[in-house]
Amino acid sequence: MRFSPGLLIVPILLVLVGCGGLALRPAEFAWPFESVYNVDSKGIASEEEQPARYFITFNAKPLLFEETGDSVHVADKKFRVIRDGLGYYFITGKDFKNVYVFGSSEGALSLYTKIPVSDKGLESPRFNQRPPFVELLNGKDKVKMLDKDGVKEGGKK
Amino acid sequence: MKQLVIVLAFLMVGAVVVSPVVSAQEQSDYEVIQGFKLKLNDIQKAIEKASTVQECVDIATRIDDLEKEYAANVTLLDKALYPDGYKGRITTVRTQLKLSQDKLGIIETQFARITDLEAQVKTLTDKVDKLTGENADLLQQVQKMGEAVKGAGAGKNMIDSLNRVINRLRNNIKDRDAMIFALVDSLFLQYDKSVTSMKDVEKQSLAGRLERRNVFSNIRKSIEDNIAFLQTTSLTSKDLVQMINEQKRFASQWKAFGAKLQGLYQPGNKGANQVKDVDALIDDWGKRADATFWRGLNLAFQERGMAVKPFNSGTDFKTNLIDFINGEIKNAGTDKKEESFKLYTSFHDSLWVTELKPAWIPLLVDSGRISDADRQEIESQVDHWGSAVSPSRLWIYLLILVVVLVTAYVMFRRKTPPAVAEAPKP
Repeated sequence: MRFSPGLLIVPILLVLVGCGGLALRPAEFAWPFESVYNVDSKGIASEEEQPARYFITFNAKPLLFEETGDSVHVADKKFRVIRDGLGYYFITGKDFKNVYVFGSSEGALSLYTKIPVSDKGLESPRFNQRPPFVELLNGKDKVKMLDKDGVKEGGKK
Repeated sequence: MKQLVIVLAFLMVGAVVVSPVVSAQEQSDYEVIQGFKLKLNDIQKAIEKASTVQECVDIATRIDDLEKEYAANVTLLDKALYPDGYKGRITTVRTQLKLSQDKLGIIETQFARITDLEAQVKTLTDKVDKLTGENADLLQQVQKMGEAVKGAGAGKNMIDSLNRVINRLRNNIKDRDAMIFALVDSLFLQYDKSVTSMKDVEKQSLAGRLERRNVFSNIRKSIEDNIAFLQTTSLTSKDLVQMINEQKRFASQWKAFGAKLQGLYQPGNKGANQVKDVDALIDDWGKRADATFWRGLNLAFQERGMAVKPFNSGTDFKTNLIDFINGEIKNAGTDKKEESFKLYTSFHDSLWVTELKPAWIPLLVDSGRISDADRQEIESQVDHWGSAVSPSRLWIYLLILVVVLVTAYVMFRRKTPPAVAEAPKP
């Protein structure tokens, strides 16, 4: 039987479609409000409120080490976590100078960017979902509007 | 000018619109949700514990208040309280309350009556709070304006404005005092029985309601405002009379209410101490009112240049006033008659008929500072002074008599037909 190149067209097309991936757009990931996460003695952060709303847990040690240089004294630390509409996780905590933006990857949260928000450290940080932004409150400080790339309103860009 | 007014109006509207936004920024959505859940949880616990109709009414009011407080956050709460949602949670808690009422055998009409009374209490509490704020502003205004009026060159307009503010403050204080006691009445009425026949749980419930409605702090505030107003130097003697009457009214209402309260609290506990505090405050107010009373009454004479000797008791007042009048009556018999007449006219027109007789004297009699016989003696002495200094009216009567006689004579002459002249004989 003689080989005809035309026979390859269908399999090639199928492979191409498979490589491009099936995308369901638009998709909305925004949490309506933040969650408070507690860190246990092993360094695992999980939702404070029970029953949990999202059941997401993560290892907080690398984050605390990045922010404070200490990954030993991690128990009883608290984080404020919120997910924006694009699916990025915004994480910060008391005395943090930054808000960390993570994307999700296989079995991990991967740092997308680190947004500097306070020189002295945040006193009482709280997030609100304000599409398309995430609002950062800190006591009586001016409110900051964040997205995955940084501060958009209310602070240094 | 018009532009300036527009800009100012714009700024004021802006301030009103922006201020709640600024303060609202302080609370995060998470805190709003947690706050709601906490309050709802407290209400559910209260339903489990409720054992009287009053407690059930309280809980129903708390649910109403919760709904009002979170009306602006329904969408957020709906998401947070999935799958029941906000309305679902409120309905659940109301159903729990209804079941609890049924279990306790509470009759619907009884519940409705107490709910109405509680609504009255709430309305009165809101009004009292509003008047408290207004009165604080007015008191400040009175003090500032009083100082300005004392300064040189205070015009009539300024004095009129001050009097208007004083008048408003006086009425506000009176209204507020009345509302507080009406509020207390509505609270007691809900129990439909005397304190002595109340069960311990009812006593605790009533005490809790008095505490929640800030009854004691409102009463204290009323007394403090009254004392502050009493010490305002810009008050006229007429104002003082009214403020002293207010003290008497308040003290008598508190006497009735305080007796009920004494039965409500165990001696030595917080409530019993609060009753004692109010007793002491009213006592202090009474003393200050008494001092102000004599200051005001002395001032009423001094302001009009009447040389009545200073007094600070009912007996001294009567003696010194009668001495003064007697002195003036004596003067009437000498060459100082004209001066005494002028003084009498001033006393009579600007003090006696306007203030002393209608306000001060009844207050002196009612408060037991002078007797009714003393009042009659003073009145008779004032009449006597009037007759002694008034110009003699004998010549007026004579003149009238002459005029009447002349008029009668003239009329008589006109009516008499003239004698007809006889015709000349031809």
